[in-house]
Amino acid sequence: MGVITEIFNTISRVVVLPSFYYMIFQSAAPILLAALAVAVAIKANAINMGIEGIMTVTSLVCVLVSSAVGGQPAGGPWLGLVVAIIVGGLLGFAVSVFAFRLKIDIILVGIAMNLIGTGASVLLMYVLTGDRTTTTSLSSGTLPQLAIPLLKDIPFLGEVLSGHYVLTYLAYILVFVMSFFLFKTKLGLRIRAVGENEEAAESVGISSLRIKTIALIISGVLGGIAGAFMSECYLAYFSSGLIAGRGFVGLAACNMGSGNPGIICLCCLAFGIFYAFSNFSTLSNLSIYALNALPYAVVLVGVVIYSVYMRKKELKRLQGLESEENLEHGQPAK
Amino acid sequence: MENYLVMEDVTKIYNNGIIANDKVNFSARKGEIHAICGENGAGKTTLMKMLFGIEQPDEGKIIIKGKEMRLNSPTDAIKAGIGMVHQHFMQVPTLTVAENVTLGIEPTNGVVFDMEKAIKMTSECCEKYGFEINPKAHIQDLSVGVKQKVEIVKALVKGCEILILDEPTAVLTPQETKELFVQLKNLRDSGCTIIFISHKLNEVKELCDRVTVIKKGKTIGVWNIKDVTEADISRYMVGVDVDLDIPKKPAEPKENVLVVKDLTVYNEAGKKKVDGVSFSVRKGEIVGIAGVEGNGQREMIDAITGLSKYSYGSITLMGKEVKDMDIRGLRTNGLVHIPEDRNLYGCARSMSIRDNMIADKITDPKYNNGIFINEKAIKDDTDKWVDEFGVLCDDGDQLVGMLSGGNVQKVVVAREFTSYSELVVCDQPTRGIDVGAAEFVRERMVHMRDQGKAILLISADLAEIMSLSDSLIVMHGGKINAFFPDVKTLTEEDLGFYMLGVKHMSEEEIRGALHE
Repeated sequence: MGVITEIFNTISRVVVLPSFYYMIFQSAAPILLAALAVAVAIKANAINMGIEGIMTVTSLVCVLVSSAVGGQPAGGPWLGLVVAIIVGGLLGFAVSVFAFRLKIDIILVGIAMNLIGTGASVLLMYVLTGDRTTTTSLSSGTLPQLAIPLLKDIPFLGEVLSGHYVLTYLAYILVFVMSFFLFKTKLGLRIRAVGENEEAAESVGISSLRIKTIALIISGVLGGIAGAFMSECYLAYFSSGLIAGRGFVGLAACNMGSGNPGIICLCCLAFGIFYAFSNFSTLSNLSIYALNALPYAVVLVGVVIYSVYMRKKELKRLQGLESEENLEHGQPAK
Repeated sequence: MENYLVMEDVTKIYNNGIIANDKVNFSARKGEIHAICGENGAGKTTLMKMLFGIEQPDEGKIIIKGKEMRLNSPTDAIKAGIGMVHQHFMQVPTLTVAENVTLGIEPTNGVVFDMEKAIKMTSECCEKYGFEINPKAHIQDLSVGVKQKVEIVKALVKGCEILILDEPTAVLTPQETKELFVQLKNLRDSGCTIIFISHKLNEVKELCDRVTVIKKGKTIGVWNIKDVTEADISRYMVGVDVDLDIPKKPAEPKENVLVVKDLTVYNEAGKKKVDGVSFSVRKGEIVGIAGVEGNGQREMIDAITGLSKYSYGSITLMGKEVKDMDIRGLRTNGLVHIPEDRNLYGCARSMSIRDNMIADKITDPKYNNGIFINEKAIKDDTDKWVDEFGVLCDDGDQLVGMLSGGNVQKVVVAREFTSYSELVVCDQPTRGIDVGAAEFVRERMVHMRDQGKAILLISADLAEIMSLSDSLIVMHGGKINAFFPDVKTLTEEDLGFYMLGVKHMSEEEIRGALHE
């Protein structure tokens, strides 16, 4: 009983804080970037399982580049972001080379990318900084936070929506950009055509290899931005375990949103709520470990609910409950 | 123009050593419909793949309008004015007609896909050649006949002057075929060269101007269509006359084996595809199911053979309800099934003929002692079946994937027909296999019937279904539209009317399909 009361107490203490809502948007941003990265690839029928690894590598690259040019005063974080984007794109390209030119199963390539990403980044960090866990010894700095004029002066709402990092805003803008890109542009049309019927695209002279490669490069670029977010917005340094499964959560969100940017965004915000909670452990007597594990448990529950929902839909189909003509005929619903 | 398109001494040897084309010569004039006839595996498809740039010839030349061309990809072929309508439509179901038609040559406004322009391009092309298609419709909502028109428009919109049609009538009703022929003749008269690949000699005779016959990778000859009869062409193709008459005694049906009552099935999209269908199949008869593709036959057969579930009505096999049976349960109760897609459902292509033939019988104590399999018994029996069913192969250890389509089907038939069976479901049993193998499969079906099995036959080949079936069910719009207890009096034209729903039978007559 005590635990349940404590949970309710924590919730009631937290939900009145504007900073809680601020944290929702901020925590959801990296997941959203990762999910969009996965989505663009999945629309071309290429699964970018390696997103976690790409984020790990690019977040370290960011920090290293930034500190090498002199950190925040010298605009290091911006250069770090640019290099992270390039490295992300290259890693996306590498996935496509392994999967489509060398014909290695794309899931295996993704797993390899994740393992290499974790291992290589720690090795590189140790070689360059002599530290095995974090790069706090380097002063890499963060990207700027933006105060939105007018909006920032509105009570409560201003505290929630204004003052986010540049990349947070970028993540939500990208939802619209990716929707437009996938559904309104020529390249988007080709990506969807290749994803749905590769042969059909090939038969009219579209190289599916090229389209998939482009999709994976874009996916890598988005992964690079997500990586940069983690080490230049979320934290101001890189540490081993920094990404902490956010790439995988993005994969789950992409699946639950069927690759559709709008729905993906909603899923990410839902996950963001639980990530935000874990930031307020000081206001609670609940175990901090439990709170930190909460988002992942919620993802698991979310995926289960999603598949139960899909199964229900399948059953409904069999019984024809969704069919309008059936209702017209007045057939009994079982 | 006499030599508008010339393929000269074209040779293609595949990596596995099969000589698909051996110095084949083919030429077409501007503004003619030119048929290419040949048995399965004769090399027609390979020849066309080379013309469309999917494969490259090892030797020989392709000359278009007097210019020698190297076609390294479909893009090159499209640029050279060649269009191809594949047997399986090359379309993206969730996109619109306009998007499919302009895919590859998308009109743009900067980087944005210009939907307005795409619709305009599509409707202009449709108007010019007299096709009636709604450019805004989604492909997945269209019927097979319209989808095929989309496929042709797709080629025309890219400025194609040579149009290759690979067995275009295989999926059409007689009426749709007629309409297609009118449109193809219009296209020819406007100067388009059409290459028509078909097994159906009556269609070749009706539509084409000239015919080239290919046999075992070699050109046999070219004839003006008015100089040859159907029998001539079939003689050139196979060397012997094809006898479409299947010798069989009148059926002696006994008790019911399969009883389907008020069956209703919904598809993935929640649309009702089978709507209260009732019929039965008795021992010792062949019941045929005819219908235009997409009228519920697929869903009904999937429900009967356990490939998908159903919600309303009942299906009983030998008196037992099959609803909660798995495939193994269905098989122990006497169902055997020759599936429509032999490569996907009918066999494991990367396994040997032996393994494929024994796959459904391996639980039999004769072939295993509980721990180890009895290789000797398996070898003896499968060797016997290879022999009995005339599978052309080196030996039983050969991989099924190495065999030709007809021989793969013989392996499937051998496995199914040697299993314990009461009900034999044959779904398109001779689709896309050569004449010799098809004849063999048909004879075997009659043989099974005479042994007292109940046979349910689904076929898009009207000649086949009319000559094999003892009684015939026609499906339209998910319902049984007609039932013919005796097929002998039925004409192909009449059948077409029922298939298209122009004519309907009374409920009284249709009730005859269920023998109680």
